[in-house]
Amino acid sequence: MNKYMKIKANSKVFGVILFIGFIITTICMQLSHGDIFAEIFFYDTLDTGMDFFHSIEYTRGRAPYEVWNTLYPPLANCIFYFLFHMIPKSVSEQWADTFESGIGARGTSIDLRVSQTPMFLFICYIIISVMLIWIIVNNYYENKKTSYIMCFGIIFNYGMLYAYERGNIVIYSFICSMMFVFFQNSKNKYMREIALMSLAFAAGLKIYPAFLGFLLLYNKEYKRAIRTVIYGIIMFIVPFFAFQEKLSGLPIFFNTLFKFQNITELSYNGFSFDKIFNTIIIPFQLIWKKELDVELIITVGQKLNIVSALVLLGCGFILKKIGKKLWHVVWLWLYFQIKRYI
Amino acid sequence: MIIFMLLPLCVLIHDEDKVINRENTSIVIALSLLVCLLPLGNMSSETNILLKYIRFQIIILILICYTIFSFFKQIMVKNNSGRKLGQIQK
Repeated sequence: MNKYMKIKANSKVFGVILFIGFIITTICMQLSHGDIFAEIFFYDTLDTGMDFFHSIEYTRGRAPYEVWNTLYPPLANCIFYFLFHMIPKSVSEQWADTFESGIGARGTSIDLRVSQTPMFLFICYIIISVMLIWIIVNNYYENKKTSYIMCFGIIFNYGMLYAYERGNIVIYSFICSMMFVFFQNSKNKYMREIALMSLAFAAGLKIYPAFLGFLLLYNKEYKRAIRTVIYGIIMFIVPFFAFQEKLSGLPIFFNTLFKFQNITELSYNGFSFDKIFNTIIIPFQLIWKKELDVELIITVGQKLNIVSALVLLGCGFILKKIGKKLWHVVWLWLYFQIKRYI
Repeated sequence: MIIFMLLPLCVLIHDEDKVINRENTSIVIALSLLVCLLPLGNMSSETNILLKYIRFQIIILILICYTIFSFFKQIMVKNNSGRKLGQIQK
C-alpha cells in the first residue's frame, strides 16, 4: 500500500464513520419529528447553552464560590466575569439571586437567552471556537484533504456537539489542549512556549487536561515540565483574586468538586471501574435473582482503578509514538471525570 | 471527556502522513466509533437511564481492556522478537 493510499484510508475511516453517524441521526430525527434530540443531548430542552448563560449569572456579585458553589475553576469564572461586564445592567439587575430560582427562570422574560446581548455573546463564543479549530487543524496537517476531514470531524462529532449544546467551556479547554499536543515539538521556540502556556490555560479551565503534562515527562523534558507547572499554578491561583472570596474560594471550590463526585445519584455516572461495576451489577442481580456483595465489588473496582491507572501511566515511558502515549493518558482521565459525555 | 478522545485520534491520523503504520488503523477505528457513534447508544424510545449508562460503560470497559491488552501484547511481541534475534545471532 503506498503512502497516499494509507493517508486516504485512515482519515477516511474517521470520515466514513462520522458520515454514517450523521445519516443515522438525520433519519432518527426525521422519524421522531425531532423528539430524539432530547434523547441524544441534555434532557432539559429549555436550558440549551446552560453552562454558558448560568455561569455568567454566577459571576454577578463576584462571589461564584461562596454564593453559587460553582464547579468551574477560577480562570473559567474570570472569563465569564469578563463577559458579564458586556451585558447591560438593565438585564443583569433582573437576574435571580439563588441557584434554584436561576434554573427556574429559564423560558421566562428574565432568561438570558431572550436578551440580545447574551445571545449574541453565545453565538460569538461558538463561532470563535469553530474558527480556532479550523486554523489549528489546518496548520497541523500537511495534507489538505486530511485537514478538511479532521476539521469537519472535530466540529461535528458527538462530544463536540454536546459541548456546544451545553455551552460548556470544555470546548476552549479542548482547543488549548489541542494547541499543546500539536505544537509542543514545533521547530519555532515561541510556538513551543505558547504550547506550554496553552496546556496551563486548558488545565486552568477544566483541571484534568493537566494529565497531558505527562507527555513532557515521557519525553524527559523536565525543565519544560517545571515551567508548565509554574504557568499552571499562576493560572489556577491568580484568578481567585478577581473574586471577593480571594484564596478562601479555593477550599470551597474543592469541597464542591468532591461533594459533586460523591453524590449517590451520580454513582452510575462515570467510567471508572467501580462506577461501571456498580451499574453492571444491577442487571446481573435481576437475572440471577441473587443479592451480590455490592460493597466488595465496588472496592475491587476502586483497586482496579488504581492498578490500571498506574499501568496506563507507566505505558507512556515504554511506548514510542506520541499518538499511543496520548491514548493511554486520555484513558486515565476516565477514572477522574464526573460527568459522562463531555 | 469524549472530545478529548479526539486528541489521540488526530495525532494517529497525522502520523500516517509520515509513516505507514497498519496497527494504528484499529485504534483509529475504535476511537472514531467512540466519538462518532456513541449517541447511537441513546437512540431508543426507552427512558430507563440506567440502561443508557450501561451501554456507554460497556463500550468504555471493552476499550480500556483492549488498550491495556494491546500494550502488553506489544511488549510480548518486542520481547519475543528480541529473543529470536538473539538466537539468530548465536
